[in-house]
Amino acid sequence: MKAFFRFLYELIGNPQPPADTPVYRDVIFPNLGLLNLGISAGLALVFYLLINRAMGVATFNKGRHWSIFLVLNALIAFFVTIWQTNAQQVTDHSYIYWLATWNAILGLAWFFIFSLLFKRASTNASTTPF
Amino acid sequence: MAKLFLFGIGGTGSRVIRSLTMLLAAGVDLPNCDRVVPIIIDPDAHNGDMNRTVQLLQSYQQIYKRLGPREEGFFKTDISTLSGISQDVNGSVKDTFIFDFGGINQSFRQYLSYDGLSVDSKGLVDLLFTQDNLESPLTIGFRGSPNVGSIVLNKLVESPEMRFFADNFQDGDRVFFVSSIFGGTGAAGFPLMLKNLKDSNTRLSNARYLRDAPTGAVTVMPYFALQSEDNAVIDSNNFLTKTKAALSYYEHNLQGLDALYYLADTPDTPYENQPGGTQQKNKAHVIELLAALSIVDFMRYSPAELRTGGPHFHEYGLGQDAPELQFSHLPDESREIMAKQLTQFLYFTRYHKQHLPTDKAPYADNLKLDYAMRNEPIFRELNTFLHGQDLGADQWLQELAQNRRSFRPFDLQTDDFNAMILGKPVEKKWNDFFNKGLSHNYLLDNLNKTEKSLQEPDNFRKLLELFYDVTDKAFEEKVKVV
Repeated sequence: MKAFFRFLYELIGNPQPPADTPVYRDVIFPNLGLLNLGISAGLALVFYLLINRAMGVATFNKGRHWSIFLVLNALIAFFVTIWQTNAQQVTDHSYIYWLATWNAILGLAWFFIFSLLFKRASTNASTTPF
Repeated sequence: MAKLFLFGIGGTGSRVIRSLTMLLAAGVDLPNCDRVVPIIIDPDAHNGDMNRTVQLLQSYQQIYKRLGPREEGFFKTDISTLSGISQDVNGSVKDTFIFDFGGINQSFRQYLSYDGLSVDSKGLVDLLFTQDNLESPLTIGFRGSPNVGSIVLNKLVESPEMRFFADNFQDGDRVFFVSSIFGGTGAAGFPLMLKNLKDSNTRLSNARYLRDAPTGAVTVMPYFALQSEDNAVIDSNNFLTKTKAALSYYEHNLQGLDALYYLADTPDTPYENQPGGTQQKNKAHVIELLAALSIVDFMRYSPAELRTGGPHFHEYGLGQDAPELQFSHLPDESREIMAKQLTQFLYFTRYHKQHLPTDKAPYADNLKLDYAMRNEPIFRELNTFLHGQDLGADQWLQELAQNRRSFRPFDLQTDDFNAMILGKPVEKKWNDFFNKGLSHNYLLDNLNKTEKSLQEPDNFRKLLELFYDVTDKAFEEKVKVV
């Protein structure tokens, strides 16, 4: 798992400053990865199964509504990164913002993948986003 | 496969068949028959009422052909032309709902070959017919003169259509006549047709089946008046006199009927005085709807019930007299037959117009409605049937609501499904924030849910089945009873 998340987050380059690399690899990357997966799955569940199935809301199923959740998920992923790096007291560096942006992009991807997985189980959003 | 041969005679016949078509489109059950064969008998080939009804029947037929037989649903009863009931047509009978008079393009005088008659015969003709009768062009019908109609229509029995009808008449089939008693075509045509069909010496085939067939009729007595004009051919002040004369004839001369329904109403706002032609296109009237219900009522009786103690005479009484009728004014039996079905049909037509073209929802995506409604002819046909400017269901309901006496069970102006049934709004619980009654969201949610559970490959059939199921559920859950 650690190796997977290390691979995923180091696609944008090694952590900066190099002195903090062990913290990133051992703590922050796994935390971010799991949180990102969990939040993306949670938001997809809320959109597809809670709102568009259990609650019977049939008018919150358009592409624009899905986009709201997509962007919300990305924003959460961005701020979760800031929060995690602060919590682990790593050195303040512009890398944190690059990582947050990358985590937000990954959040978009995870939400999209979970959308494909959950949409069939939804009543009112089974054809959202397509 | 039992058939109902429905003879709609004259303008009233056409208008009653129009109402029956709407009831059948709404899914009203017509028991003891698999197919309705309307035969409109009206020599006025350009009659506005008749042509509108024929267009409507053709539209219904197209839709039914695509849908096929089903246990329940909109458009569930087969409607066929006379030639459509058999493969063996031989080209003698046209594929149409109208009885072919072959274009009687002459005056009544010419039709009788008056100038070639003997002096004695001329004297008899002069005694029975006025000069106006004799000069009357038959192209626009009999203009309220049953004495003219009875001569012309007596030839009907020799027509290829009647022979074809008799040839294909089977055990279990039924016959029903719709006519008015105060006009020309209907008043003359009904007793003549009956006499010819039930005649023990008839030359028609299947004479025994014809004689024994359960036979009913609705005779519409005056329910509208016509504007008085100096040179008008038809004077509605004579309607009652003509009705009395015809009734006294019926009293002794109607043989072979199992059930006869009488309907009448006090005329209110007079119609424009049009003796015939394209201009004779009267607004739908509740009496015509009730006459259509009499056909449904007749079909609900078993042959044994009809034959026991017959003929059965029926009259209609409202539960409560009112100038604007709502469901609550109708007797329980009428409500039971049509209230739920008409409500479901209204919900369907309104949703079809208000939301279907713009719905971006799974049910619409899966049915490919966006493409189908623009490109598939059957979807356009449905659109015509529901919303056609002149013949559609919307227009029919509007006319019923505008006429006097009016039938206004629905508020046709509102977009709110909760308020569509007049006098019976859907209740929303004050303590349930999420219960918005019959909201767009409620209907959409159910459309999406139900669409998932329907296993129907054809998108048009699926659409109709889907809306029938959803409106049925909406009625049962939210309206319950009217």
